[in-house]
Amino acid sequence: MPGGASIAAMHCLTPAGVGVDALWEALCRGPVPGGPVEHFTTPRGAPHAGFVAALPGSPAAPGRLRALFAAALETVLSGVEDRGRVGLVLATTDMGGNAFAGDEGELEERYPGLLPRGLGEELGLGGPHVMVSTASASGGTAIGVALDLLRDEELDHVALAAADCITASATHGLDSLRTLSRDGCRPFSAERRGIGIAESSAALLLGGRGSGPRVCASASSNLTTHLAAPQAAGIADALATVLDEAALRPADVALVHVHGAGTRAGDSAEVAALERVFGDRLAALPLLSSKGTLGHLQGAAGLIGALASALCLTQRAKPPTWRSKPRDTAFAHLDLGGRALGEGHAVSLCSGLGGVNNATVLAA
Amino acid sequence: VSCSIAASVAGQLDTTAIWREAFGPREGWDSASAAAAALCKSIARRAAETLACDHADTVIASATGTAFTTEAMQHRLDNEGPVWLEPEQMLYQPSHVLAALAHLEGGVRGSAMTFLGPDAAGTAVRYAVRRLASGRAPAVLCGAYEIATPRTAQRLSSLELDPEHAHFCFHVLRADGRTDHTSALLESARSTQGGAGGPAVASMRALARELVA
Repeated sequence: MPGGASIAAMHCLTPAGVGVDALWEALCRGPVPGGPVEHFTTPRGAPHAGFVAALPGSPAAPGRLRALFAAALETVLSGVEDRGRVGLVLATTDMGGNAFAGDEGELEERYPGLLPRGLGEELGLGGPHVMVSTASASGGTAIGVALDLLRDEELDHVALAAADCITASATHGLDSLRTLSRDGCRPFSAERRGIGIAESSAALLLGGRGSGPRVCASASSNLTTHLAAPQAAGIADALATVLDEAALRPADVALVHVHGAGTRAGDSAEVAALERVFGDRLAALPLLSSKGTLGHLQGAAGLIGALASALCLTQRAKPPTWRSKPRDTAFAHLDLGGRALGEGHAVSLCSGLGGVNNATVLAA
Repeated sequence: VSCSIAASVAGQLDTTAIWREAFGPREGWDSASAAAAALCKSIARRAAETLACDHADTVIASATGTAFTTEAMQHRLDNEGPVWLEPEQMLYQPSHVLAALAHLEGGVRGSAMTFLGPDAAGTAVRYAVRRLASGRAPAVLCGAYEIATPRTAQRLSSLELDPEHAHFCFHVLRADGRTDHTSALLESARSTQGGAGGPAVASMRALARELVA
């Protein structure tokens, strides 16, 4: 597959702070503690969550999602004067959580499906505007949509952003599936019990002829036999497909940013998929899950994974996967420590409810 | 690339009883959740039946997605008394669930994508054509659904949503152009007469109408 695109700019707002420097510092330094959830009555399993402290206003504000998107997009677009041929791709899991929890006011300015049109006009973007919603894989699958738009719609750039906030419906819904853990995300740990969630937004500006990292290809698979259970076959299918589309061999991969949420079934399925694709080489393959540092960023998780991968390639280093100790003996062979990175490509994986999986390849 | 519609299905299902239970007293919530899940499965099954293959992508558009589930969840959480949700509600909360169910029901491998918003149908069709043109998918199930509650239809009045019916329209697109699809296209076009299913479903139906013309 021909394609790929330069990353012209990237930005994020996470519980670690604002900007990719803050993200990198947190990935190297260690877990960012969450705060108490005070804007709704929480289920027993989720008294805490991660918040973007730098974003003014209440986490319950009906316009919170829009504000998260806008803050990330304004930064990556700040150097683009002619925006007539710039497309917009947004991604979220939010189906109106804060919007429905709010008052009876205007829904059209805050409903997620209507945000691309409104934000596109506000930011003066003349290209197509799109909202992707593929559960927790939204941020990853949106990368593939952005690459397609850039290649086929004669655009100069595509601005891509993923965001989610902490809503009562999603928090209670995840708790009903017994997915949440009071202890947060502990990827590959013997003590992993589920996930802790956080609000965030991340943005990439794709296009141009930058000298920095590139997104080479992005592929998804919805191969599954169950709506909820993570399965190795679909993850391996996405991974094998993206390597094929990027014309790479498994040996060309120097880093995998895994989904690594810290659920019992999810971590096992992901490692089984990696073993299928990388075989014996897996033990020597550097792996990183940023969820041990930041928590599960929901629909933005896949895009943050891509950002973290790009930073690793740029810094030629891989931070450790925090909170993975004590390691589950089934995963004792995995390379989760901090280390310098050799030459090669990075792959970022993400998965979501409904059996959706995405893999994205990046190069320095 | 020129692609043809190999098969189509469109229809509408009454949702008034589901909303009456979901937004009524607590004792109706369980049956409303089960009925909403059954509604999604029913639409996905109808869509999957048009797929006569084991490898296809699915691309689905909706203006409001599964906002109906989020609204029902929020309604429960806003009520006095114990705060709880059923696991099934969360399984059917992501808008991607229709695409996932279509893959499950059809037993197909491939990728699946969900686009939201009033312009989502056009995005979905263009995305589907790209998948076919690049050879990444041999067939694409491309469709739209809309399931709007009375409150959402009222608050998003510019979208002209139908609060009493779930609407859907799916096409199987192929690049080979060899399939005789005339009868399916006509059926799809006919089903648009007088149907107001929101912008995404209307666009999918219009696609069939244009091809017939």
